[in-house]
Amino acid sequence: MFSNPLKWFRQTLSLRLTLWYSAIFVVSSLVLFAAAYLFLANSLCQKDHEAILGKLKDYQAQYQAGGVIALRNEIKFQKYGGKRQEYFVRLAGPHNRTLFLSLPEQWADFDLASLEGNHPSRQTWIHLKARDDENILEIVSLRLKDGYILQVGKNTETREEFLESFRGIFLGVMLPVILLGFLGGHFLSSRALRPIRQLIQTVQTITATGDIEARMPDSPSSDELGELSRLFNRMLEKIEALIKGIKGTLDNVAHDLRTPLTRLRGTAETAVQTPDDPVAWREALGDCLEESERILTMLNTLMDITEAETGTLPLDKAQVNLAGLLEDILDLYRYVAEDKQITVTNDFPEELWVTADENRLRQALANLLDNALKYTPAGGRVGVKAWEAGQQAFVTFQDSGVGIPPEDLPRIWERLYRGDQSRSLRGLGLGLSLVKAIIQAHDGQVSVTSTLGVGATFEIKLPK
Amino acid sequence: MRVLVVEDDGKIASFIRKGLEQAGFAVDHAADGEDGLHLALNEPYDVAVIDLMLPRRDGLSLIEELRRKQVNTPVIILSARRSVDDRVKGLQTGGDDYLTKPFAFAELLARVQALIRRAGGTENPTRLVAGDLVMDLLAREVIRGDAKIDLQPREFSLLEYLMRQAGRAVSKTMILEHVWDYSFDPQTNVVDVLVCRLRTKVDRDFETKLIQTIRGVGYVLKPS
Repeated sequence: MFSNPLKWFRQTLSLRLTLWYSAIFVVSSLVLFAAAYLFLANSLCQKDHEAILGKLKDYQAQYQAGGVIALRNEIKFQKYGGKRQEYFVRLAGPHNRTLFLSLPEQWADFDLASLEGNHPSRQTWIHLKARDDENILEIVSLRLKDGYILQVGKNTETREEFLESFRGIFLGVMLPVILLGFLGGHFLSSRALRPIRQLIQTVQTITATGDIEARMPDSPSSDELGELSRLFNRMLEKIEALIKGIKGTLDNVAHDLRTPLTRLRGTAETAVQTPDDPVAWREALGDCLEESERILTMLNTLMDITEAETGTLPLDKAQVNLAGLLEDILDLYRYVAEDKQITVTNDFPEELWVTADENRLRQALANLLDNALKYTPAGGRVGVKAWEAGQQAFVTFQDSGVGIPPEDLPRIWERLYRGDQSRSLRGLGLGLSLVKAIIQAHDGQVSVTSTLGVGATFEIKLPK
Repeated sequence: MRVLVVEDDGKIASFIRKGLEQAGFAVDHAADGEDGLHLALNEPYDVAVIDLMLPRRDGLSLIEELRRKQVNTPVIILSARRSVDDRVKGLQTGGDDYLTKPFAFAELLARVQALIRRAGGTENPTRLVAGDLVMDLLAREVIRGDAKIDLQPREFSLLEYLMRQAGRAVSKTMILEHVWDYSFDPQTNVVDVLVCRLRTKVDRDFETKLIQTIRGVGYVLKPS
């Protein structure tokens, strides 16, 4: 998986999700930090300004109390009074000539002479840049009553240092944040994608080993991916059932075909070993042809049954007049019934519509009528009825035949099952299985009731 | 009459060839789709019998190519697939008839002849004659020798079909198709029963039996 990192990088959904997650995480932290930084810088600046203005007011008060002298003394006192000086103070004459200037010693070198060129108005902040570094001196000016100009300023160095250390902290924090975002993203995406990886693994197992019994581990979650894995498992179960059905049928078909093939082979072998006897040969060839015809019919019927049972029989469904089909079939079997002197009665309306594959349904109905006529002795009766009730259509075939012994009843639908009475009659033992398969493929039901010696009634129930 | 047989299985090809030659056809055989296409494009055939599963070019694409090049030789498709869908697909592609394997040769022959008749325009006789058996299609009367035979509608259609195919075997499936218009074999003995009834009426009282059974194949009406 990691053999080609670049490919892996581009291809894995997990990594893309991780990157997205960490990108969003990092961007939101950035925004948060930026907001905090701006707020902090702003409030620090405001605090400095307030302090400067406060100082200015102090000096103004001094000035009002004792004039320029008092102010000067006060500043001098502050400058040399041992107290650490924190402010820049400048007193200028009415023409902005510097009379007195005090700058804390530890401060950088500012081009203070340039202040003389300015004609400051009240409340204008002057930003003076240091000559050799980034320090800025913020100065506010006040014009005193007699034209003197008082300016008080403060170095932004402390503030900048503070903000710089804040930025430093921010950078220091950002690295772990990115890492955390990446790890968190990786954790979340790999957790979210776990079912998909399991799906891939399961499919790989199945395609590699052909082991259709492989399943996804049970997922307790009820989210979409949990639902997907449950659905996937259900699909596998269905496929497994179908495959087993097909395998089973294949085994059965192979088994069922072996018997007639053995007969075919036997006949041919005997004929080959018979010395010159064209009549016997012709007879044997005829047997072979008939037997192969039987095998073909059997194979086709078995295929039909299997397809109908596994749901792979293509049904060309349309509105079909069931009564019309019954008429056709009765017509088809008219001579057969006449020959056996069986009275066929019918009782159904002229129109009875169902949704079905016409040919398949005809086949099923024909088989049931064939069955009824076959097991009814000469001179008997067969009744065909059809009606509708609610959303269902019913058809019954009632014969006055030999009936079916109770122990045979559940088995008559099995492939190739032939009850004792039926062994002597023509047939493959597939007719009823085919009927059942076709009717069930139409979502219908077929059932039988029988009294031995009295007859049997087959009933078909079809959704309309 | 020339027939082209495109079939890759040697045994099947040879039995079709022998049978058709016995029936008086000149037969060419191609063992794969490309050869078949080449022959069909360059020689005038009256009918082509084409298998679907062929090496080099499958039957459907062969037929498609023929029709695209405006070659309208009637085609009978041979196929091991028997589903309705496959049949429909074959006929839509340009096949004129469809026969599933395994098949009775008699059926193939009958279908080849039917296609040739259809291509040559249908002659519609009003009277069919087989030996001393005469069928008047307009009056719907059947007379054998001097005796008029009463037939029921299905019996009449069956006899008509046998007389039209006189001398040629017809299978049960073909009878079901022609007499009842059934396209599937409901695995019944209805055909045998009908033939039996017809025999009783047509043959029982006569020395010469016209309707004969060919075991494993079907029935044939043979005017002696």
